[in-house]
Amino acid sequence: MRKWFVHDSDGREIYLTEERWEHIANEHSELRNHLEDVLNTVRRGKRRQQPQDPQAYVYRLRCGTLRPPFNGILVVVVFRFAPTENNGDIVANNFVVSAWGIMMRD
Amino acid sequence: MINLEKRELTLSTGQIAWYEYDREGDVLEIIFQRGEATGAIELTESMILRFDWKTNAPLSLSFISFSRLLQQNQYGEVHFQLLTDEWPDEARDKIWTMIQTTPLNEFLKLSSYAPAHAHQIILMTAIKQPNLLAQAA
Repeated sequence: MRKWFVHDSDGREIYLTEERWEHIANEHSELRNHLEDVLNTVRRGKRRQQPQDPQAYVYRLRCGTLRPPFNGILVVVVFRFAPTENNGDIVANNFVVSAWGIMMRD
Repeated sequence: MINLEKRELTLSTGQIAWYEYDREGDVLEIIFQRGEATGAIELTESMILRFDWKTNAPLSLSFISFSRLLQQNQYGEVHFQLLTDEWPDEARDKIWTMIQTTPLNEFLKLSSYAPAHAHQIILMTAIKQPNLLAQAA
């Protein structure tokens, strides 16, 4: 199964799995043809820490290619840790959970 | 692999809704109707509402960091600020209508806070059925 890796504006590596992308495309079908725009939201979007969960962040970015009235994308990324398959070292595991097309105020 | 826990819920109107809880990502989505949304806004910093623009029907309500939202503190129920300043003007009436009617009002209740020496009231919402929703998490 594929994974897309991107870096946010501060250089953090974040990935989106194909399985999660398929879930986004099916459940939030307004984003179905906007994989690159979702990845671009992580690359260039403004980052906001979730008030109740310090390991969860929202990335938001305006997007002009969505069907109106949508004009932005919101992506939820969690920053966790996981052991590697090789030697069990604990490494960063930053991944996209989900994404939504949203209406942002002009 | 996404581990989605799915449950079915019968609303007070008899309508069926579905919970989908992503435990790894800690996101809960309550789906009222499946289909492509024609509008969506951030209700709060942790809640996203997708809806049908023409009919004002909610399609789904998502909770980010859901398990944390349910945690009460020593002061009681937690209320979350509605991001009214971020809502487009043309969507405001629709959102108010939806929040105050079923099915959303089965899950959310409105409240407000009037800070001392401030002229603006802060609008908030709280999760109405934390025990019921917690069964999904």
